[in-house]
Amino acid sequence: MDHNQQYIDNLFRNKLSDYQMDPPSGIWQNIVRRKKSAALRRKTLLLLLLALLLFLLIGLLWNYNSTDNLEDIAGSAPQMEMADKSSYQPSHSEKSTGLLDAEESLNDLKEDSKNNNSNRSNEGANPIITETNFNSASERNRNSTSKDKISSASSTSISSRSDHRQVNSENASPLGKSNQLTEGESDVTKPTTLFTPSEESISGNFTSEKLYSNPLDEKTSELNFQSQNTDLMESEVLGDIPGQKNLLADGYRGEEISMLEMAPLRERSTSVSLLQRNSAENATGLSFNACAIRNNPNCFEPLIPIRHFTLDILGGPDFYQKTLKPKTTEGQELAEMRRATESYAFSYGLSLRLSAIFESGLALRTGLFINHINEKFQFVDPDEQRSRVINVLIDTLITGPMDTTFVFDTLSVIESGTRVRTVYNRYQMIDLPLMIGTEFQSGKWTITSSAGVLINLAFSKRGEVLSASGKPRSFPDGEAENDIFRAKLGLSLVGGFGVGYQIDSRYSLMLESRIKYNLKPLTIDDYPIEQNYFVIGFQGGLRYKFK
Amino acid sequence: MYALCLRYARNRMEAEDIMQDGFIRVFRKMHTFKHKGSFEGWIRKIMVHTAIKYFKKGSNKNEFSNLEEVSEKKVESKAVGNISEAELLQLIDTLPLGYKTVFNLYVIEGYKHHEIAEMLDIGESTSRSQLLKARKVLQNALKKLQLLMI
Repeated sequence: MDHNQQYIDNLFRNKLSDYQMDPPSGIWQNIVRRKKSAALRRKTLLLLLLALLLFLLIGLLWNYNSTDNLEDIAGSAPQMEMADKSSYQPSHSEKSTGLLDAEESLNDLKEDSKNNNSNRSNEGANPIITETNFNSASERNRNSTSKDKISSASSTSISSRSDHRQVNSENASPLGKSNQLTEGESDVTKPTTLFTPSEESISGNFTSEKLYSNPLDEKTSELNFQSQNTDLMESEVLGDIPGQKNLLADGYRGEEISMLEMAPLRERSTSVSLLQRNSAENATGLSFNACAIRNNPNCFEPLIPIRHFTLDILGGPDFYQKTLKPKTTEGQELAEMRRATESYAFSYGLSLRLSAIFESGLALRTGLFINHINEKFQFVDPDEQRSRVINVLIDTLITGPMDTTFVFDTLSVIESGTRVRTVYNRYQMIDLPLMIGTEFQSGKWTITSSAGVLINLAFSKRGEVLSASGKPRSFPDGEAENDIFRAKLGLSLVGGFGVGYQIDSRYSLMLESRIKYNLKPLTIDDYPIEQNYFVIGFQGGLRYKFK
Repeated sequence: MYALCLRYARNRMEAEDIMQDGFIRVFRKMHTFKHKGSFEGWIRKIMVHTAIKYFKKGSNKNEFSNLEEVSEKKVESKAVGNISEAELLQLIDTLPLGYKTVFNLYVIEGYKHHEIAEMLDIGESTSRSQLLKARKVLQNALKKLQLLMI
């Protein structure tokens, strides 16, 4: 480094390293403003994320436990296989899901059927029935062309609905008969599989005596009801159980069987509607629990007992009470002037609301609320003067026939009078609600309540108000956008009651009342008046219930 | 800090932006200050990094300077001892952005070439050459002002 370069370095370093300059005056205000808005933005974003996470968590837990149930059920699969492989014929869907190895099962069928005699005598009368049994049987019976291999195992198979009808009419099941003939097994009519009562079985009022006249365990408890019925179905196919025929001949079991048969039917088709299930329950007076049947993918018992999710779209008029609270003497005067010039105009609110309704009746709600507060600003100026330019005929020059010239002049006229200026002010708020509430259902009617906070996401305003000088001034005013009102409103309190009427399984009509109060005034701290609103709204709309 | 920002910025508007961004970062990172060394030095470091980040983010932003700013860059000839800090700042401002940044970082802030290279995502040799060129430009400018005794 030569001498000159070192000199340059030293010159600049010595002079500039500690040199200070005063920044422009507005820079600190800008920094404070940016810091505030950044903090607000972060807070809003955080709250949004929290709301979203809360709902995701609820949704996940809801779904997780349903999967968990299936896993628990799958855990008992070995017991099912032990019970009677011969009764099992996997459906196509099971093959694809791999719940049981279908081929292995088929290979074992003949062997099992040969061993049936000894097994049955040892196992007693109680078969394990799983939904897969139902399926396989139903599948077979639907596709009744495949009677070769299937028939070898069908000594314990279960009939489809059509088979029930056949049995019910006291015609022996052709399938059952053919099975017997094909295999030549003499005791296929006896219950062939092990019956293991499940704790998740459906309870009912039937006793084993009523259900069975064959030598099943007569001490079967109510908990065994599901299995008994399934056993009944199983027996029906065989067509040879004496008691079974009698039972069906009583005309006593038709509905129960249909109801119980819904489980396999439901698996065959994609799902059974709630309506079907309800009708089955109503018809039998029994509670139907899909989880009572093993490996039922429709088994659904959430850890968080959420009844359902709903989406509400509501809208309606808002009424408000405005407060203009002066902070200074100047504000007192201005508040009075403003009260005299501002009045209510039609205002309204819209809501898009997502709710999670728990079994207990508790509800968590979030969504988006939009409020339009409108008011009429009317300013009367009794000393209004305005100038107007008019043309005045000052002369007429007739220079010949049909030749006339009119001479005009312009005059500026000042008119004085009263001027009435009307402007509709608009305050629009978009809020994120975080609410907790209750929902109680009685028949088709639902009573709702909710309370919580609204987090303001956006606040826009437009209009005119009186200034301290007594003249109207508009807002936002050019660059000084927020010189009267805040950019964001922060938190508000909200609460309300409502009523809903169910019009079908998915949709309900809703009517709600709601109150809202902003915790902070709409005006900035430097403004001499605190302007705030207490809003009462009535909203009607539609509710969609998610399955 | 404003003078520091002016040294890195191409005009006053940019200097203000850098200063605002820098102080927002200072407030945000306040909890990370370990109370080792001077607080001013810590803020200074943040400002320098903010300036570098600013130019990395929008390198082609605000390329145009208005006439007032051009006229401000005139430096009148004076004796060496009489040259003011503001005039030196104006001299620095005549440098192209790359030269200016490296010159500021090396000569005034005291960073080493490998540190500058890391901060600016350039090679060490580039940093060295930019510094040499910056010195040469400044030397010529000072010669013109008859500030150097050759």
